[in-house]
Amino acid sequence: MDNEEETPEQMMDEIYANGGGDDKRYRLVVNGEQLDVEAYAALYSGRTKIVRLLFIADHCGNPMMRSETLRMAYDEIKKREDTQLFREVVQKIDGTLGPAYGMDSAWIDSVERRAEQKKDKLENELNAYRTNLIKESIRMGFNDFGDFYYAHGALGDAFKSYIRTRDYCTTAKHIIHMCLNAILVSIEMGQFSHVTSYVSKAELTPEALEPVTVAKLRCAAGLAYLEVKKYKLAARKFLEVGPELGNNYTEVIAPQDVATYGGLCALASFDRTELKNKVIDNSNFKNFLELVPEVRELINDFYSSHYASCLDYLGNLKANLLLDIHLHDHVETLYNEIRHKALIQYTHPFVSVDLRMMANAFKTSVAGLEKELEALITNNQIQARIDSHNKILYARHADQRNVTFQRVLQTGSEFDRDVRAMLLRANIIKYDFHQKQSRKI
Amino acid sequence: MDLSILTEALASKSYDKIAVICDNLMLQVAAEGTAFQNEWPYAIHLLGHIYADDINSARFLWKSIPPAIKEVQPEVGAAWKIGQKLWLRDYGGVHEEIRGFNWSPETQCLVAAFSDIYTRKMFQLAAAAYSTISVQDAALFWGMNEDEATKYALLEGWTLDEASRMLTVKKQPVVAEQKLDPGKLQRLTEYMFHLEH
Amino acid sequence: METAEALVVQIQALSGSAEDVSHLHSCLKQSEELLRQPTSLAPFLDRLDPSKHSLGYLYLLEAFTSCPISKEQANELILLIVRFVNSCNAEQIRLAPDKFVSVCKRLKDQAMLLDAPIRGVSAMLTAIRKLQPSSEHLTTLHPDFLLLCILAKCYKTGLHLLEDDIFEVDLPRDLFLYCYYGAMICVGLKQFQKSLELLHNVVTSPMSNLNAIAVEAYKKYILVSLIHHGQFSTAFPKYTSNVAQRNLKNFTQPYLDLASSYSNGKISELEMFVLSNKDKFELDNNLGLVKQVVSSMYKRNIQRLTQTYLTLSLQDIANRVQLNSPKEAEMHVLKMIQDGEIYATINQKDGMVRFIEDPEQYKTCEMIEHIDSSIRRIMALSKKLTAIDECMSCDPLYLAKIGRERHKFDFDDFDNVPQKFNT
Repeated sequence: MDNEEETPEQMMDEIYANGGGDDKRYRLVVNGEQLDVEAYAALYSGRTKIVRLLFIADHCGNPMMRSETLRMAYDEIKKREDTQLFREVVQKIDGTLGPAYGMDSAWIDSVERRAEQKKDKLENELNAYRTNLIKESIRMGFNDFGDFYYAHGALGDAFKSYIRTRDYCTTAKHIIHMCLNAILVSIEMGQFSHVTSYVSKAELTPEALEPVTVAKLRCAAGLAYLEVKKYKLAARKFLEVGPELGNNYTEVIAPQDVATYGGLCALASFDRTELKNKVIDNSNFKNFLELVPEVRELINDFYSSHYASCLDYLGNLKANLLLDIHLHDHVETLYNEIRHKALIQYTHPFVSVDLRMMANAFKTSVAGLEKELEALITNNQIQARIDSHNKILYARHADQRNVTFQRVLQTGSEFDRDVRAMLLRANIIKYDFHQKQSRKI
Repeated sequence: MDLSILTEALASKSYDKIAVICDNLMLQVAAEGTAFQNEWPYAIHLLGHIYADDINSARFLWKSIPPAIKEVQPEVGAAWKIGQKLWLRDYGGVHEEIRGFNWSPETQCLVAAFSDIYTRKMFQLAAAAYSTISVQDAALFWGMNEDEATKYALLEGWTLDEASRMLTVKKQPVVAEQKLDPGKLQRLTEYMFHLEH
Repeated sequence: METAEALVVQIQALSGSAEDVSHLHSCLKQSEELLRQPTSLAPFLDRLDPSKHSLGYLYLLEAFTSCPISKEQANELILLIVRFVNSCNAEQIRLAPDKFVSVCKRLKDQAMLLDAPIRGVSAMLTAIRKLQPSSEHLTTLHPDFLLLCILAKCYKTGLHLLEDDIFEVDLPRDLFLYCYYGAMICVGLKQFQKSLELLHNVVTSPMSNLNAIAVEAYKKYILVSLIHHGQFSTAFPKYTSNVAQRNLKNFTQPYLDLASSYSNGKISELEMFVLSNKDKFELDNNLGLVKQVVSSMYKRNIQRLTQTYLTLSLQDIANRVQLNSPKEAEMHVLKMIQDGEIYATINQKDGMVRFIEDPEQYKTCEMIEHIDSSIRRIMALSKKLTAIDECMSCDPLYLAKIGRERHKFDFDDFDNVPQKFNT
């Protein structure tokens, strides 16, 4: 095996080390433990806590876990005023949890009656403010309406009310307040284009933002990029989240999520240098990673080319990540990207690679590996060719001179063809034009 | 119908010109209104295309021949059979078709000439496409028996592994002219001039 | 009768200098009515020499041939026209191109009527050469010639004409048919690149109404693209007419479906699709091409392997491209090596194929000659472009148009030429 880098022995050792099943790194990997829903739910507050519980109930595929999760959601909803969510959860429980978890009509009636009264009160107040044209009070009035609708699950109305405070904002603080509210509701509604636009609106305010606000905005922007599959941009946003975030944004995101989302997006999209500079050497992000040691370990494994261990961690995390409301749709893509990155990175420094050894490092068969490499070579992500006879991958170095000649000749004949075709089209246009002219005369 | 040009070409063994001569003559006699089909040397015409490695034209010519003529002139059909085997890349079949017909004195030379260049071409193909090839396949490609094929290959510097009956191909170095004549430099200057103006 | 007699005398007298001939031309125009009389002009034709009295002979011949005739007479007529075309004076007949074209079309019709298209082939080519001011001009006879070639199965003769670069077109219809028939000839001779170019011209041509030629051309374009490039893009170049962009796809659905099935790379799926749509392709006379599409997929899949593998066993190749046996795979690989489509060596002993890089080093005299000739060709082309550009920017009609409709003017048709070639 030839190696172009300076320390071949070291590299060899590490790659060999990958193959052995008794490597010390393995002990850190615990088998995919079932998600501790209670601990998970404790990380969040507000509406997202309930929505996340319902999401888990729908996706876990485990009746026991589903019942437990729905019970927690039911209890949680009862503490709030959202009768819509209440009806939803009762429907999902469908009587399976006994009479204590049924349709509590009395509760619904009383909540809704109180809501009506509160709404009337808010309306009267707002009308009074408007007659008196007291800007600040009108703003407060709309804001109260926003809070009211949000609490009752009328997200669209909440969004509209928050937005209407905009005309009555007099300070930068007000604007930021409005933006944060709009962002919160938009995330709940899954309207991530709104999220992006209110994040940039908030960032445009002239006054210096509070660090905690900056951190929140970074999180929101990261989520929005994640949603549209712009993983590199998402990673950058999550990596910029400051320690001030703490537990101040639990109605949207937990600091653990910042570590997971940021780490996985970075692995899937960053090159080696960026990974080193922006993730591994990022002392701020390190604090987040401490919260999710598995993610920290798998990033380090990836960087130090311990792919087998890295893939193990990923494998164990997968089931739980699929239960995350924001990550669910992206797990497959991110995992594929990370695997591709690892395969590419593995082959990169070599003139030739022994496929048996590589298959071992990636815990797959030689035939399976050949297929994977075939796809990567076809997409031009690896410049190499497979010697299937000897099971060796050889790097391919295109001859620049020949390639240039080839391209020049091709460009020449394309130009030739295009010009002739164009002149023929010009002839037809000329003919049509003359026809029209002669008809006019 | 004056076919003297064709006769001359055949006599002087200018086989590569046969196809063009026949094509032109045919158009000429047809335009004159001559009912040429019955006397037309279709077999030679077909073989001319085949010799020039233009199987497409041979195929179209074959399609244009009246069925009655195909019936009464078995040599026409035999000539096309060679083309058909080439079309299907039935490498061994070509040799069989060449040997399988008793060619008339007029076509004999042309067929023999084609057989020679075809064998040579097949040898070159084998040399280019294979690193090792069985004696059996080589014999098939070249239209020989196994002993002849082995002898032929050994003469070209190939080697034989008796145990596996495999021939190892000796690659011939490609010799190509790489010298540049001074006129080219002059032309380059003109290109530069063109680009700048 | 007397006046016909007088006309012949006039023709005999006025066929010398250019001045005389031009005078004769106006006389002939005036006598057209007279020539329409259903009298036998044959004896008069005999008194004229087609090589000397070409213009006059043409007028008489055209009148003579425009009468309905019997099948028996057709033979005579063909001979008469062929002899005239072969011997006539090009300058004289170019004074009356319409008459000349009409006579030649008559030749084509009669040859087809007699089921002897080959009889018209050489004369039609001569006629084109005499009629066109230069080989860059497309004439109305071009499509007729190509059609005769196809019917007479003289594809190669047709191909020679297609080697001319055409820059001047009078009637759009001529171009459409020329390109369509030309493409059929190229397909027959497996000149797929050239064929694509011709079909592309039809499909992307400016048009205000969709025509049947464009629809048929688009079908063939899809098929030939698949055979030649192994892929087909449904995106039209932006200079394509709106009519074509909007409507072509509606008329060619089975072909588009075929292309999308092809892109999956699965031979069995493609075969299934072809089988279930066989009737449609057969109805369009495209089944032969469709079969070539299917077999091209083996080639495409093997070619893809050469990009990925340095060595691969014949067994693996057979598995990956869905062939029945390693021997079959070997035959496919051998055929592709023979045709220069891949570079590889087969090792029968180990049952392996080694794929190698294109051995072309761009160093041989032959290659340098090739590069040199394409440089010269492109220089000539860009000079031509400059000349046409200048000519157009001085055209009063054009200037009037852009003066009037500047806002409507569309540069789309011109901007695919890189600026630097346009100096």
